[in-house]
Amino acid sequence: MLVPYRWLKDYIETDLPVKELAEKMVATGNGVEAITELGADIKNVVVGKIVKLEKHPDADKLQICQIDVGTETLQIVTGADNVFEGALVPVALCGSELPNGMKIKKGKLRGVESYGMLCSGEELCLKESDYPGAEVYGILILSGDWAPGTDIRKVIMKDDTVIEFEIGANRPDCLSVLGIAREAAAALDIPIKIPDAAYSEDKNDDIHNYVDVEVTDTDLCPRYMAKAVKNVKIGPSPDWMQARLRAAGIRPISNIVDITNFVMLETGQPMHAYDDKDIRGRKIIVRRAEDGETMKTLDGKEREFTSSMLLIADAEGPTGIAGVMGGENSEIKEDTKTVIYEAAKFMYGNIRQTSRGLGLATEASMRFSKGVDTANVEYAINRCCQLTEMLGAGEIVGGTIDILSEDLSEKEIVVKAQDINGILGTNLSAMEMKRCLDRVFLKTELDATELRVHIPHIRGDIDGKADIAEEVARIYGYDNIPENEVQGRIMAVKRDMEVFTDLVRHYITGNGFFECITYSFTGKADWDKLLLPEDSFLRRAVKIRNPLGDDTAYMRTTLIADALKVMATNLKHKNKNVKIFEIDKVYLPKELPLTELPEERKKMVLAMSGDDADFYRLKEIVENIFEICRVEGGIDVVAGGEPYFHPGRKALMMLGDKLVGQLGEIHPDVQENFGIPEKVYVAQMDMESLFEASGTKIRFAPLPKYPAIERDIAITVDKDAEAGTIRKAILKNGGKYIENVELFDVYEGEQLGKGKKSLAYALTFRSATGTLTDENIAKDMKRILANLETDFGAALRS
Amino acid sequence: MKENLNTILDEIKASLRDMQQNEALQELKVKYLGKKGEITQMMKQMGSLSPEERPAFGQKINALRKKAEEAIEEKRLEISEKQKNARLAAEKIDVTLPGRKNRIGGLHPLTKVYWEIRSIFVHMGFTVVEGPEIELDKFNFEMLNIPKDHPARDAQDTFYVTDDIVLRTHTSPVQARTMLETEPPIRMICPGRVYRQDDVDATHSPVFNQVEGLVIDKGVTFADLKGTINTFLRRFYGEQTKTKFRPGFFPFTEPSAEVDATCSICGGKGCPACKGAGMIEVLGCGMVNPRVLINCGLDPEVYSGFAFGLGLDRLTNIKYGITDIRLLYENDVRFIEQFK
Repeated sequence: MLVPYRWLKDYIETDLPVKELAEKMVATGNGVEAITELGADIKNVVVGKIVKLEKHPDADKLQICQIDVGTETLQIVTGADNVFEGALVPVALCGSELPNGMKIKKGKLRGVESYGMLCSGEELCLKESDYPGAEVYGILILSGDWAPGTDIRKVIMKDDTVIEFEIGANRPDCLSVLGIAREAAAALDIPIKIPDAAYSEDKNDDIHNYVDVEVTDTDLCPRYMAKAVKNVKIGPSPDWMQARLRAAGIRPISNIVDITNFVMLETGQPMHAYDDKDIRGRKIIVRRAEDGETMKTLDGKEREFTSSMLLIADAEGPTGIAGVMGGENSEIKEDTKTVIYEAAKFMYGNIRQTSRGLGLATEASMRFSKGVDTANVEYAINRCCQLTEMLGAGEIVGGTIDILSEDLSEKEIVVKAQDINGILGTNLSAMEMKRCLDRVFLKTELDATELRVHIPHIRGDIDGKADIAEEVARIYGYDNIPENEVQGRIMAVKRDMEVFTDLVRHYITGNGFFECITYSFTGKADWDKLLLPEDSFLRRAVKIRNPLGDDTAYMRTTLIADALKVMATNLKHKNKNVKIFEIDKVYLPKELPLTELPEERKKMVLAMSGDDADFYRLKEIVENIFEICRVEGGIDVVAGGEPYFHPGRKALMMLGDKLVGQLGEIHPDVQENFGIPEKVYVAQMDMESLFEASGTKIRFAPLPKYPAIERDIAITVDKDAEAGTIRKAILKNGGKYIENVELFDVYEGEQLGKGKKSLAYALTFRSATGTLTDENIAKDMKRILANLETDFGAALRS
Repeated sequence: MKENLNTILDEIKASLRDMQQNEALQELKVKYLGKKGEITQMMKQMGSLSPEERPAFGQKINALRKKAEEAIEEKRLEISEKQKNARLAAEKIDVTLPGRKNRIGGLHPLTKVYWEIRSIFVHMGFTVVEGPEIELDKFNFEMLNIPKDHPARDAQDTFYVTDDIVLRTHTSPVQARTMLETEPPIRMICPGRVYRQDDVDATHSPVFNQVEGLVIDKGVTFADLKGTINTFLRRFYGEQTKTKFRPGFFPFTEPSAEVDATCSICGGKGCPACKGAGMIEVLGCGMVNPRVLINCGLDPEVYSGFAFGLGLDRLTNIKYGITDIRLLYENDVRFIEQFK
C-alpha cells in the first residue's frame, strides 16, 4: 500500500520526519517495505521568471535571458525559441542535478557567460500526463503564479515522500490512506480528522428515475449501494487530487474516474462509475454469470465467464465483472452526462477465485479479495458524492439504493485484565489496557478489572481475547513485555532414527563423501534418461497440479537422478574424484490418483567417480555401513538391479528376503544421458529398512580361550561362478567348528583352461572347549570339498 | 696362570677398543666365553688344581668372567646405540612433503546449521518431531485458521496435488499433528522441507527448509516466548546479540511477532546484508491462536502456548554470508567443502 506522506497529513497533524514515523509504525505492527522520496533525482532546480530577453550578438539561434530566481537575477543563454519575457520556467542552477544524470556548471556560449540552464519537460523526466506542456519541444513553460526561487519539485508535484506499507491479511482496513492514518494516530498518540462525507442532493429527483438495482445472488454480494449524479461535467480533476493519485501510483484520467479512485485509496472501498445511458433497460442486476457468457472489459480484452463468477449486468447482458473490472460498454466518456456510482461488498473468496480464474488482478479485486467492510461501503459512496459536489463535477440526485443483507451491529468483547496479563506475561492494570485500546479506536469501558471493548465494524479481524491482547501489546510495546524462562523441566525424547542417520552421516563424510541437498522434484525426462521401462514402479509418482515446469512436475521416487545431476555439475566444473551422498525422502504413492497421503521414505544415495572409484570400493563402503549399523549377519549382495546400471556390474543388497538397496556402475548410456564424462558408481539404500535391521543392543562375548587352526584352499571353477555364493556354501558345510571364510585370491590364467578361474579361501576353525587338531576338522574339510565339487564343479588345486 | 688371567682381560679390552661391528663382538664373545672359549677352558682346567687352590682360583676365574662379560656388554650397548643413531639419521624425512591424500568429506551447510539449532533446543527440553511433506490441506491450512479462499493463502503460493492435498507450504502443519497426538506439556521442534510456487532466483527457491517450534502447557505467556527465542538467538549468534520483537501477522498465532537480531555479518554496524540497518529479520513467532488450539482438541481456557518458525536456508545464508540461495542446491563440492 503506497501512502504519500502529504496525503496522510490531510488526516493527522504531524511534522515528524518520515523515517521516525516509519519506525513508530513498525513498532506498532505496520510493516514498512520502502520509503521513496519523489523527485529525489532533481536537485537545485527552481522557478525562474524571465525578466529580459535579447539576441545573442554572435549566434542567431541563441538568446540571452536575465532571469529572476528569487535570490538574484542570473544571466543564462538558451537555444530554445519558445521562451518570452515574463515566462515562468524551470531553472537548473549551477551545481544542480537532473534525472538524466546531467550536472549543471557555469559556462560560456559563444563568448557570453551563462549561469545555469533552462529545462525542458523531458530533462525533468516529465510526461504530458505529469504536467501539461511537458512534451512540447523547447523549454517547459510553467502555468500558475509561482514565486521565483520556488523548488521546481513543488510545482511539478514531486515534493512528497511515499511510504510503502506491508499490510497483513488480517488488516484489509489498512489498504487505505484513512486506515493508515488511524494506525499513525494510534502510533503517535495524536487525534485524527476524518472527513464527514456530507453533501447536498436534489431531493426533488430520485435515483429510481435513472436506475433500478436487483441483487440476485446476495450470498456473494451482501451489500450493494448506488447513487446517481446528473448534469455531469467531465473534465480534469484538481491538481491536489491528481498529485495524490500520482504519488500513490494511479494515473489521473478525469474528474469522475479520479474521484472513484481517490475514494478507493482513501477509504479502502473500491468504487465504480457507470455511464447511465449505457445501462440498458435502466436496470442493474447483480448475478452469477452463465457458463460461456462473454464481455469486453475496460482493458479492451474479451473475457469469458463461468457460472461461479459474479457479474454486474443490465437488462441485456454483462456490464462489469463484480469487484474486478468494469465493461468497456459502460465506461465514463467525455460526453457522459449522468453517472451511477456503485459501492458494494462482494465476498472475498469469490472475487479471489474470479480474479485468479481470469488472470485479471486490479486495485479493486486486490481489495475485494482481502475483504472490504460492509459499513464502510456507505461512507465511501457518501464521500464520492461529497467530492463530486466539491469539485463541481455534477449534481447528486436524491435517494439512495442500498440492498443490504448483512447485520451491521457492532460487537463487544468483555475480557478480564488478568486474562490479558495471562497471555502476555505482563502485570498491567485495567486502566493501562484501556489507554492502549482507546488509542487504536477500540472504545473501552472499565468495570473494576473487567474491560468492555467496543469493536468498530471495520475491525472485523478482532473476535476474541487473544486479539485484544495483541492490540494492548502492540501499543504497550513488545519491547516492554518482560522476558521469562518457560517453567518446568522437560526431557527431550531421544529419537533413534535421527541418531542413527547422524551416525551414518559421520561415517560417510569420514570416507570422503560430501553431503548434497537437492530438490524433491522430478519429471518424465529423468525417468527416460534412467532407461526406466514404461511400467517401472519408479514412474508411479505423485504429480503436482501446478508445477513450475515439466521437469519438476512430479515428486521423486528415487534419489539417483539427482545424484547423477550433481555428479555431472561437479565434473563439468572440473572437480576430480567426486564423492557425494544425500539422505532425503522419496515419495511413493499407494495408489494413483492419490486418495490418501503417499508414503515418504528416507533413502540414502552414494555416488563416486575418479581414481579410487570402482565397484568394490563402493561395495566396501556399503558393507561397512551395514557393519556400523550392526545389522546382524550383514547383507547379502547378489547380482541384479535396475536398468540404469551396467548389466554386468550391478547388485542387490538383500537383508534376508528383503531388498534394501542396489549398487553398481552406471550404464554408459545413462552416463551419457546425464552428460557425465566418466564412469560413476552409485548405491542407493533404504534408510528405514536399515534402521529397522540395525542392532541397538550390544552384548559382550567372551574372547576365545583356544587357538584357531587355519586352512587355505584354492579351487578351480567356471569363470561365472560367484565367489560369494561359494563362500556361503563353505560356511554352510563347514561343520560346527568353522568360524570364518575369507577370499584372499582370484586368478585367471591360461594354465587353468579357458573359461576357468581360481579362487583361494582362508578357512578358520575354532572350538570353544579345546585346541583343535587336524583330525577334528578332517571330516569337515572333506565335506566342504565334496560339496564344492558337486555344486560348483570345483577342482582342488594342489 | 695368574698372569695369564690378567693378560686375558687386557687382551679382551684391547680387542674391544676399536671394535665397530656386532659380528666381531659375537666372535670375541665366543672366543673367550663360548663353550670352547679361553675362559671357559680355564675353568675346565680347575680339575688339575689341588682342592686347596680351587676356591681361590675359581673366584678369580669368575671375577674375570664377570669383567669380560661386562666389558663385552658395554661394547654391545655402545655399538647398538651407534647403529641406532646412524639409522635414525639416515631415516630423516622431509616433513614438509604433503600428507597422504585421503580426503575427508563434509556435511552440507544446511545440515550443520540445523544440528546447531537442534542441539540448542534439545538442551532446552525440545523433542524433534517430523511430519509429511505431502500434506492434507486440512493440516497445512484449515486447522491453522486459514480457510479455503482466505486472503492469507495469497501469501503462500501453493503447489497442489489434488483439491485436498498440497506440498506443505510451511512446517506449521506439524504443530497441529503434534497437538492432536500428544498430551501437553509439549515442547517440540520440527525440521523439514517446505514448498512454495516461486521461480528460482538468488533469494527464492521453490524448495527450502524450516524449523518449527511449539510449546504448549498451562500458563505459557508471551514473556516465555520472548525468553525462549532470545535464549536461542543468543546461543546461536553469540551472547552479545540484541533482538527486537515487532508485531506481525500469522493466522495461526495471536499475538504474533517478527523478530530481528543483530546482523551477524557486521555485528550491528550496518552492511549490505542487513541493508545498513544493523538488524536482520530472523524468524516469526507468536502465541498459538486459541482457534488453532480448539481445532486441535485443546481447551484454550486451560492450555496456552507459543510457536515459532525459522527459515533454515535464510539463517544459514546469514551465518556464512552466502548471498545466493541457489548455491545451497547446486552442490558443487568446492562449495560444500568450505563448511567442513
